[in-house]
Amino acid sequence: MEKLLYTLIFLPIVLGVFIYLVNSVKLYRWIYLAEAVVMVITLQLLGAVKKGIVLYEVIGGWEPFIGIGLKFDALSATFIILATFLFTVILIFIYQSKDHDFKFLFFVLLLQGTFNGFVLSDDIFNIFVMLELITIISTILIIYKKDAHSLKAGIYYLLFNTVGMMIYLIGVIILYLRFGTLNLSLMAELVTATGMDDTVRIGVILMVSAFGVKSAVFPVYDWLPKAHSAAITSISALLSGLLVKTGIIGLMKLTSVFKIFDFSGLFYLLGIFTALMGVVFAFSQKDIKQILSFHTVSQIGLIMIAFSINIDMALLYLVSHSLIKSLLFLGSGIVINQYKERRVDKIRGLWENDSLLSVFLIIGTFALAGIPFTSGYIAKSAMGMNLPLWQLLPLVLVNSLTAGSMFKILQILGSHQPVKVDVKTSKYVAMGFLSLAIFFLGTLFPDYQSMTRDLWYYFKPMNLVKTSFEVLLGITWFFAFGIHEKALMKKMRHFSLSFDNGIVLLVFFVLSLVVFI
Amino acid sequence: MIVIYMVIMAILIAFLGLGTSKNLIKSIMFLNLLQANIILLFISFSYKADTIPPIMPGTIERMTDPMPQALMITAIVIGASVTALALMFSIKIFHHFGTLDWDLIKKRMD
Repeated sequence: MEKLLYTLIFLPIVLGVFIYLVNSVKLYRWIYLAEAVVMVITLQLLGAVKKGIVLYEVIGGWEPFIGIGLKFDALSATFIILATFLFTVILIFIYQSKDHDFKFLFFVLLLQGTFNGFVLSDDIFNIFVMLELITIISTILIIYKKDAHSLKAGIYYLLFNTVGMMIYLIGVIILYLRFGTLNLSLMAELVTATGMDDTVRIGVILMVSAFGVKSAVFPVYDWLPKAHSAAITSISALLSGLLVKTGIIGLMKLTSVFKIFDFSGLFYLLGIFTALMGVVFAFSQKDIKQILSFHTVSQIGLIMIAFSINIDMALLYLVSHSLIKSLLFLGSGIVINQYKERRVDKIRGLWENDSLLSVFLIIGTFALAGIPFTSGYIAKSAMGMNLPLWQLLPLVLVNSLTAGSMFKILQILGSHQPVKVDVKTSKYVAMGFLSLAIFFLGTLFPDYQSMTRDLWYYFKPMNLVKTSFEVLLGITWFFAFGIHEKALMKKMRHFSLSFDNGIVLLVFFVLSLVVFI
Repeated sequence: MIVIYMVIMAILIAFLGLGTSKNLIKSIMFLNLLQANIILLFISFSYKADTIPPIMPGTIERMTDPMPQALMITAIVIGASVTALALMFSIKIFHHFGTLDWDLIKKRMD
């Protein structure tokens, strides 16, 4: 049974290499079969784990304290199912387009295998290797268009994330010298036996700050909007939907090991700053993709706040945000390609040109704003019911600004502007799958693991009042600041950090975290 | 022991360089300096004076810890590939913008 874990990692990679060697896209249909096989194996293994079988494999049959461990539990199963679903949707999306030459498919499949490897690995150095691989492959995918914009964004992404991972490597060194092993499960036992001291604390906080860089929290978020808005449509969806969450997944792995350490205050602080900054910047943007990428920053902040409550809440929010943001990036990418225009105040008349696409965009924006019967509503109200009031108030502000900038996107539906629209069927199919998943999470499947509640649990009058207040406040924001922009917003729109200032902020961020503990 | 202090100094210099240099090639070089010194830090931390490599039989009592070397070989490979990729992209950037200065790149973009 344990040997099946290798299939999850190597099946996509081997297929990708095969497609590259055969140098043909005729094998394209086999990819869906491979995705289905990965999905079936994951579900089988998840069934075994639910029955109480421990799935732990050490590569090469070494002892756990020197070998590389692979661990399959409910957490990693969730991420592999999510990743397989999103990769399948992306592959359906690019099925009829020009994007899918064999090199592109090779990198996408390699990325999937690496992501599965990262999720499964139970070894801090292997996590470092996998994260660096993910960074390198996604850089190549960001630069795939080879225009000036994506080149600049790609090199910024590569260098900034590598500096972040170097800080992670220092943390790995400190923990190895202290514990004599790299294995996370063994480390968990050692920590409970010996307790925390300052050395361990510094090592852990260096790793936490590196994951913070990887998931773009407040002072070190600047690489994300650049990279996510410069990439091509399918890759933006993949980056924002899945790959930016690698930092959060790493934090989940760390917190489950160092249980003595109380992270919740730190995560709440990081989360609230990230959410507020991200949403304020998002509201000032005019480029659709920039709005969506800054929203990824703010939603990462909300995931961190959910993480400060507990890990299930963070998972719920993470999965919901992955689906919504992929749908929105795919939809807006089609809009940009059809209109050859990225600014929301220039695009008009989408409803009369393509009403099906408009429906998908409405579903995505409503879900991100947290309208009932979508997954966003469930995630937001589950979070709201578990926070004290003084912690909830900033969230209401964040959610209302989110709703406001969603109306900013929805203004492209109205009015008239004749454009000849020619969209392939497979793109609609892909977006249809994502919308179905959003409604599925929002209505039929509102509980995850320990949260066994029915749908009506979330429809308390309190929540409905909160949601409608947020939406109304959002409409107010939109009409007050969204249509005629103020001078301050223009300044914010053109604000971006240069690389050296970004590094200064990174060092400042790491030092302040070290001082904070 | 003096090696460790020098390595830590070099790491600080690398961060200083990354935070002040305006040139893309200089950023890549300082990143390389950072990587090399973190690797050296790990190697010199795990160095013990009278140990030998665990190759011949009967050396198990005095053997050195082989793990840091195995890990750092991997880190060196990753560092080399990141550098190669970054240099390749900086060639492309020079073709597009005619400069490698971060500020000028930003200016010529708008």
